Amino acid sequence: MQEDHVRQQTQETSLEERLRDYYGPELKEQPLSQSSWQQVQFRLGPQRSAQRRFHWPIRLRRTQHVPPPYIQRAFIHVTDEARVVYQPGMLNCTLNGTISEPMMYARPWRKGGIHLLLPLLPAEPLAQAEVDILLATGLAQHMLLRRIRYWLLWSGAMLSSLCAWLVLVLTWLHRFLVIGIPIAILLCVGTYWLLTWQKRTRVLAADMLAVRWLGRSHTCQGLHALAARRQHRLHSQRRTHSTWGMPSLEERIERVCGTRINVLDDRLTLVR
Amino acid sequence: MGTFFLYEAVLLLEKGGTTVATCERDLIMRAADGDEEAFRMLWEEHHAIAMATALRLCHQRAVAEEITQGAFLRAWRGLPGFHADSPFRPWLLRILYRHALDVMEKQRIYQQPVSLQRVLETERQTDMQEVVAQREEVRQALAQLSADQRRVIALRYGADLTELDIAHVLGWPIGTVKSRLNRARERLRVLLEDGKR
Repeated sequence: MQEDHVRQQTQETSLEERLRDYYGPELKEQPLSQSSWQQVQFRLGPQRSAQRRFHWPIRLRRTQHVPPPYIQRAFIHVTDEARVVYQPGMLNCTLNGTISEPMMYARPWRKGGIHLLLPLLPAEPLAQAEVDILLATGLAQHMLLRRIRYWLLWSGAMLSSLCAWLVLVLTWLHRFLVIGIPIAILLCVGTYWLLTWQKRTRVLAADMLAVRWLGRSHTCQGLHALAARRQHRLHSQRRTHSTWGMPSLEERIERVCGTRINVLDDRLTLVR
Repeated sequence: MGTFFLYEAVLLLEKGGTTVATCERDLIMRAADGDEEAFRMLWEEHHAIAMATALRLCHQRAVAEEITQGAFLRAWRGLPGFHADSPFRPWLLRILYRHALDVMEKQRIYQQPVSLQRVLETERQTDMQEVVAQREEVRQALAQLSADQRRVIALRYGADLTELDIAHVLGWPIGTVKSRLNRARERLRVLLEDGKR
């Protein structure tokens, strides 16, 4: 009995030691860089009064038209590389509590044409390569959107959808809806296909421009980091989801880097 | 009546090249009113120890940084309800522990194998391969516990908290903490013994 007690004590001591070894000793202070504070500062919202009886635990959206300094610096660098004149107000930033990955979308207008959406509480801090690729592709898409070819395609798509409406109205007036509806559907599908195709080619062209400005290696790093972030979020699914017709991150990585690797790999090589 | 002394936390901070003594209570009150500069000073004073605490729990620098940032954001939002006369650091660390445990479960830290690089991020020892192997065994055993059992183990051995402190951080009754801790230890003992055979 005493032997059992001694053995149990030994086992407990051994377990305690192993658990302490696992977590390791108390660490000395680990200072973080200034950019870490900047990321926190960007996500601070207005302070709420303690006297309010009810308030949302997390503010779901915070629009900040002036991006934080580290994003502004990255954007200035990208515009330098692209030989584009930097204009304040060109880039907008919004924090969104409903998204978990950073997103970027572009509009053709001069001011605020590039919009960066950042998650309010991301799973991991944004790496520099991720910020650079988002900004570079955003700027590239913004430039592509201002070309005449885009406007012609967009006008064609709008004309097509207008025709669909006209066909519906006319056939309804003349009681030929049986013919009118399929024609209208075909025209709508055609419009959607045209817009999707146009957006897809724009995304791929923007990637090529990003390669020209940032270099292939840096662009690949950024794409891989975005893919790793999304994979991490989707708990290691083999392929990421993408909007119908739009190139997935894997496809973009294959085209830019010439590799099928999904996880960020330091030894990125171009196989072409 | 006798005299008594009021003791307030005084921070020595660098500002414009000179050292300035600032009362922490003032910083807390200003930050609670929305003063970001005051909150930055609190960050300067406490973020390094917060980062060390988070790193010890999760062993991954990027995750620890995210935990630290998340804890400070939660502290910012909670400041209006915080009693400015109370010390800031223990309150911040309680927030950090809760947030760290949530992040570690969400990111499934215990499902990720221990690597040499991660061990090197926190310490340097002579026989690193053996250290990694030992930790990997414990990691696999921890992965088989329930989330609540992992929480008490992490706070007991990764943060050196007493059972009373753990109860305070997690908001559980002290009896629940004790029973979960005992069950977790028992389960770990069995798993590690089975692993040896």
